[in-house]
Amino acid sequence: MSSHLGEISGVIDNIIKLLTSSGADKQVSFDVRLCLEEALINAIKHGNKNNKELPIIVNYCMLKDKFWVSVQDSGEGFDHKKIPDPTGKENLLKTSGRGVYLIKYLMDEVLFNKKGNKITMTKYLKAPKFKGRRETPCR
Amino acid sequence: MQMNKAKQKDILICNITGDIDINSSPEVRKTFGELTKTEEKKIIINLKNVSYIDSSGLATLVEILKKTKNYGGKLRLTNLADKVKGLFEITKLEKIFEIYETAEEAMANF
Repeated sequence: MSSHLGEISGVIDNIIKLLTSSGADKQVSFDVRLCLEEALINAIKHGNKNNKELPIIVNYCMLKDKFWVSVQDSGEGFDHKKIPDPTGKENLLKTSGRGVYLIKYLMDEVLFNKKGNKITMTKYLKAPKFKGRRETPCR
Repeated sequence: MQMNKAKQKDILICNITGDIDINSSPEVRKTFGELTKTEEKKIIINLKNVSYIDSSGLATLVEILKKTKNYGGKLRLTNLADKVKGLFEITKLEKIFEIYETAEEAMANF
C-alpha cells in the first residue's frame, strides 16, 4: 500500500473480514484492528514521514489458531525499547506515545526486526481468559 | 462520527456517535477547541455510542482535558463501552479522567 492514511481502512476492512470468517471473536477483531491501525499510522507518519512515494509492505497469514501480520516501512527504523512508558505518571497527560504500548499489550506476540522498520504481530483467535497484564515476548 | 451538544442547566453534554480514530479525531478536536475557547466550565462527554477508539482518539480526549483544566473547567466521561473502558484501564488514563457509568451520575454532583 502507499503511504496514505486514507488507504488504512481498506486494508483493515479486508483483514477483519478474513478474521470474522475464520471464527475470530469480537475482542480479537477489535484488538487486531486497533493494533494494525496503530502500526500502519506509525509506518506512514514516523517511518515514511508521510512521503506518499514510499511503500508500506503488509503481509499477513491466517493459520488454524492464530493470525499474524507484518508491517514494514521504508524508514530508518526506531528502537521500540526507547519509547517512554505512556503509563508513567509524568507521561499520562502527553498526547502521543501510546500506539506501540497498546500493540505490545493487546497482541500475543510482537517482534521488531533489527533495523526497527518492521513489526510482526501475532494474535491467537481465542482471546485469553485471564485479564491481567500479559508478558509479551518482544525482541 | 457525529456529535451533538445539549445544555442542561450549566452543564454541557456532548454525545459522540461513531468511531474516534485518526480520521475523526481532527473534527472532535476542532469542535472541543471551540467549546474550550468559550470556557465551558462543566462538560460531559457521553461515549455511549462509541465502540472504537484508537490512540489518536485517546490523545484527543487528553488534549481536551488539559485545555479544560487550564481554564478551571471540569470534564467528565460517561457510558464507556467495555472495550473502550478497557483501553482507558490499559493506558492508565482512568487515573486522570473522571469516568461515570451514566450521564445522570456524572451530573449528580457536578
